[in-house]
Formats: sequence, C-alpha cells, structure tokens
Amino acid sequence: MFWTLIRHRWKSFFRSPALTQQLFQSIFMGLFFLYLALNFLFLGLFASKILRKAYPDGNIYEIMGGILIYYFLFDLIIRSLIQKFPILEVKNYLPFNISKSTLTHFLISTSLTSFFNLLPLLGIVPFIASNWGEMLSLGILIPFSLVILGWILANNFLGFLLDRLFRKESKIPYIIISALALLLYLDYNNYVQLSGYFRDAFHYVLIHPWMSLVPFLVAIISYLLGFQLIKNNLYIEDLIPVKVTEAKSIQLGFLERYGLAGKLMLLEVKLIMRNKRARMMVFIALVMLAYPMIFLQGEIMEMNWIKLFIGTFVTGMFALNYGQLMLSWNSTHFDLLATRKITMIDIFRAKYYIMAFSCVVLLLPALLYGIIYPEFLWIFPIMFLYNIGITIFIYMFLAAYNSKRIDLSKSAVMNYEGITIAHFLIMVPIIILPIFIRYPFAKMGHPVLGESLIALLGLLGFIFHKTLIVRSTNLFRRNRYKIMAAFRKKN
Amino acid sequence: MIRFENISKKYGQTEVLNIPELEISKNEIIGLVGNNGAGKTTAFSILLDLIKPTSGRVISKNDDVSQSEEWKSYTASFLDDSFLIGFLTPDEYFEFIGTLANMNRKETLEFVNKYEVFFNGEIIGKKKYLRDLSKGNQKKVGLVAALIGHPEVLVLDEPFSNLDPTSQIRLKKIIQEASNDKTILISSHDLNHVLDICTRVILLEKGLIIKDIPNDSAAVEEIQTYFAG
Repeated sequence: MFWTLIRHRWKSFFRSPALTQQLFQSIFMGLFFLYLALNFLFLGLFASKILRKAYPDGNIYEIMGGILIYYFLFDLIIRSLIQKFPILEVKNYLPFNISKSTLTHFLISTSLTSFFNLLPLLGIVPFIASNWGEMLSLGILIPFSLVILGWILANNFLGFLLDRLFRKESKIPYIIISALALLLYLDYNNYVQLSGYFRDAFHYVLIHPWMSLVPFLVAIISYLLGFQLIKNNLYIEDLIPVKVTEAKSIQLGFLERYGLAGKLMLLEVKLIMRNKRARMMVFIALVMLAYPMIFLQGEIMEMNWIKLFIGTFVTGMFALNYGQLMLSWNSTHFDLLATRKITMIDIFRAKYYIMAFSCVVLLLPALLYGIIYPEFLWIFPIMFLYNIGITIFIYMFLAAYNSKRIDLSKSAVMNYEGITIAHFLIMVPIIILPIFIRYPFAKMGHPVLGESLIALLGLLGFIFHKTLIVRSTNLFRRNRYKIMAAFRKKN
Repeated sequence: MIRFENISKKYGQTEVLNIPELEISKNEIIGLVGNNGAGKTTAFSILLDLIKPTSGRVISKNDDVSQSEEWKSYTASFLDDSFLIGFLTPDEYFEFIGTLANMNRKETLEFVNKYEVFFNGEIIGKKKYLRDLSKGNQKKVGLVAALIGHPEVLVLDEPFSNLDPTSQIRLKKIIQEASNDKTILISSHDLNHVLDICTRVILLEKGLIIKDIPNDSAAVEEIQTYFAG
C-alpha cells in the first residue's frame, strides 16, 4: 500500500495542471531552481579555494563547518515556513481502508523528496569530492559526510515539527530569522564570535567521530515525534485547520465622498488589508524605504545613475509589485465586476488612484533622506513623477495581456501563483528607461537636463492620466473574454 | 426585452449552444431546464457578456450586450461564487452592491433585512468574511444581493442547488414576490421548482432548444415525460 501511495504521488506530480497548463510558470520556476542549484554547485567546487585564501592558517573543514551551522539554522526556519508537506493529498485517502500508520509514514517520508534536501547536497558533494584525498588522510571524510547527511535529514523532520508548532504563532519564525540575520551580521563584523564557537563544536565532532551520529538521532526522534503527532491527529479538520477570521471593519470615510470611484478604491483597500499576499506587498514596500541605507556610506553613491534606480524602487515599490498582478487580484470575483453597473474604466481608474496614492505615501518619508543627501530631494520627486506617469501605465496597458487567476486566500510566502516570466522581464525596462534617458545628457555634462526630461515625461503621463486610463481600458475590453475565461479557471 | 439572434458557441469542433432565435418579453419568468451539459450556463454567460459567442448576438433593450454596457444598469445576476467578493462581510458586500444601485447604506440594510427569515439569522450583522461562510449561506447572500435595487432583468443560475428544503421553498416565494415588473431567467435541473414559479419553460438538450412552451398543465406532462427518459 505504501508503494501504491508513492506511485499516486508520482502521478499527481506529472499530471498536475501547474506543470502542463502553466508551462511558462513552471519553466520559470525550473530556471530559478536551476540557477540556485548551479550556484550551490559552484560554491561547493570553489569553497575550499576561497577558504584557503581567506584563512591561510586555519583548518578549512572546521571553518566550513562553522558556516554550515549558520546555513542549517536558516535552512530549518525557512523550511518550516515554505517547505510544503503533502498533507492535502492524504485527505483523499482517509475514507479508505488504509491504516493510519501507512498514511502517516507516507506523509512524512515523501517530504524527503523536497528541493531543500537536494540543495545542500549540491554544494557539499562537490566540496567533499574536490577535497576527499586530504579529508581521508585527516581521517575526517566519514564523520564530515555523515554529520552533513544526518543534519539534512534532521532538518527535514524537525522542519515538519516546527511547521506545526509555528502554525499557531505565525510571527515566531520571522522573529527568529531576523535574529539570526542580525547575529550573522554581527558575527561577520566581529562584534560577536559565534562562528568561533560553531567551529569549536565542529572540531569536537571531527575528533570524536561517534558524535556525527547525533544528527541522525535527532532525525529519528523528530520522525517518531512527527509520526505520533500526525497519526493521532489524522482528521481532516486537524490537517487543514478551518480558520475563521473575525472581520475587522475598515472605515475610510473620505473615500465615500468620491462616489463609485471611491467605493471601488475602498474595495481595493479592503482587498489589500484582508489578504495575506496583498498585505505582503505593503510590507515589502515599507521595508524598501530602508533600501537606500545600504548605499549611503559606499562609493556607490558616486554613481549618479544609481540614484534613479533607488528612486524608482523606493517611491514605486508598492505600485511595481501590486501593478504586476493588476486585475488578477480581482480574478476570483471578476464576473461580478463585469456584470454590474461598473464600467471597466471605473475599475481601472480606482486601480490607478490607489497605486498613485501609494507612491505619494512612500515619497513623503523617503524625502527624509534629503537630510543626509540633499540630491534625493531632487531625485525622489522626479522618480515619483516617473512612477505615477509612466510605470503605472506600463502595467495598466499590460493588464490586457495578464490573464492569470490568483486565489487570494492562499499564503503569501513563496507564492508565485499568477506570476509569469514576463512579470520579471517587464521590470527591466521600467528600471532601465530613466537611466537610459539620462545617459546622453550626463555624457554631455548636463545630467540635470536628462533628469528634468524624466520628470517632464512623468508629469505628461500624469496630466493625461484620464486619457491613458481610457486607452488602457479599451485595450483590455478587446481582450476581455480571454482574460475572464482564464480568471474562471481554477487550479 | 431580450433577443438571442443566431447565437452559437463552439469549443473547437464541439458546438455547445445553438439558438437561432429566442425572444424574451418583459415580465416573463423563464425556466431554463435541461440535464448536465445542456448549455444553460453558457446561454446565461453569453447573455451577460461573460463569454463571447462564436456567432450571433444578444440584444437587450435594443443594445448589443457585447458593445454597450448599458444593460448593466438594469440587469442583476448570480451565476456562481465568482460573483461574490470573498474578503468582504455580507453587510459590506450588500452595501457595495447597493452603492452600484445608488442606494445608501441605510436603504440597503433596510432592504436586505426583509430577508432575515431566509437568512435564518446567520448572515446579517455577522463578523465573518464571505469566504468563510458555508456554500448554502454564500448562495443566499448572492441571491439576495441580486435583488438589491429592483433590477428589471434578473438572471439566476441554479438558484436552488446547495439550499436546504426550507430555504428552497422560501426562495420560491421570494422570487415570486420580486417578479413584479421584472423579467426573470432561472436555470435549474430541478424540474419541480421551475414549474412552480415560471411562466414559460425552455428545455435545452445538447445546446439546442427542443421545447419552448408556456407553463400550463399540458407542459408539465410533456416535460416530465422528457426527463423520465
């Protein structure tokens, strides 16, 4: 029976609509993972060279171990957040005559096929392979390999336990990740010496080979604990907890005064505030406000064009992210919008104002950077104009071609539903265009002229925004049947 | 009021709907019946300009529905859950629909309060998002929302499915009470409900209208014979 279940899982993977129908998305995700995999592969191959150069008199294996401890700590938390366990698939088997133990073993063991288990191996195997002679002569080949393998398994099953633990307290993993990142930063700048302790711990393991079995022990215990936990709670309502959130009212009285457009904007605000994935966009935009800090001290600020780039991101991060999915955000209730006394122009108008408004909201705090770098008082308003006059309209015209349904109720982390390769590609011209416009003027020694031209173009876009909204709506209306049909298609 | 002209819808080689001519007059209550795959929902979707017919057009009050958006001002519909906004509470949803009919919050709530019995006390004033309601309650919200603003044309797809027997009976009463000055189109595969409230029954089979008869006792027998197979 166990193997029948495994065969079903195999089929469900190859027959999933995500793999065939959303081919582009799958290819993109595939490329993304391939890129990650190649990075790890090269990192593994060249790690020993890099480490030897950086620490000419240190034991590179112990140093590697110290780094790996950090890696595995991050890995564990991230797994608990995004590694998906095939819980839903088990649901379909519950009514049948299959023992709960079999189902539980299946559920937990299929988690081993995760990409998270492959990734570290891709780095470690070439690392060991390129140094195996030396490692063998030092007598650490076997304990080193074992401890890594054991740790991958331990993280896999521990992540499974943590996922269930964090489900109740969803903020904890983010706090842990932030704390770890801070520690890593302090460690890197020698404020604390945690990696030194990690190295000592690893040294201890290497000289006491039996210690390398500890991770396996952790893995086995986690497996057994997970097994007990799942087996005793193998009910649909436990596997897929029904969360009923109490509705919080959102009052934005001033919007009500703007009639239908105001109503639609209020609807949009509710959409953003009450759906995790959309809320994430707000969060990212706020985090991006801190983005210029990375550059503030570096020589990188000497390069003036980079400020345009910063300006686009800082004032337009919300519009850039939210606009990508434009009408897809409304895909689950689009038929209502299409058949009621709302014209498409009303909807596009509300979208435009919401995004333009977000740019205003982001511009104001961003101007505080002017205290340190007065040029930002000039650059940020320019890029703000560029965003409200150009960026948003690029997205509004693209909405006529963007026909991906997204299910708002799904979680936000690593959720690429509705995102295609085109979404990432389109960011490139948006970011490069202003730099491109400014370039010839900068070459001639008049960058200010180039910057003014960007501002002028943005301003023109804003002045004619009503016409542009009508134009983009007309384009959408011509493609509407295709897009509405795609919005109705559930995965 | 509404006229289907040479409507046909094909997916590839398969024709799922073919209505050369169909005229629906004001104040008629049309019951569209047929087994699964007969083309009921397709017909409604074309009428509401949600899908594009392969050929032909639907005229509502002299306007082609795919060209003008005028019909939206007097037509209300509820086909499925893509007509619901999951992240709103029922009250907010009603209010939103009310605004589209130029009704303020108070007027809208007064209107929906008339259906408190139908809602069985589980909907109005509850702090729950629509996405968290049961299928049956979601359906009730969508149906009542379609009545807001007294639309001249009302289009309901399978309004009785997912409702408990008591609610089905109440719904029939609600539709009958609302039918004054309205043109109503209802699809269903439950023959009895349709015969209870409709003035005219249209039977679809594999995309074709095979019967189009006034709802009288002769019709009842004719159609019952059909469904008996």
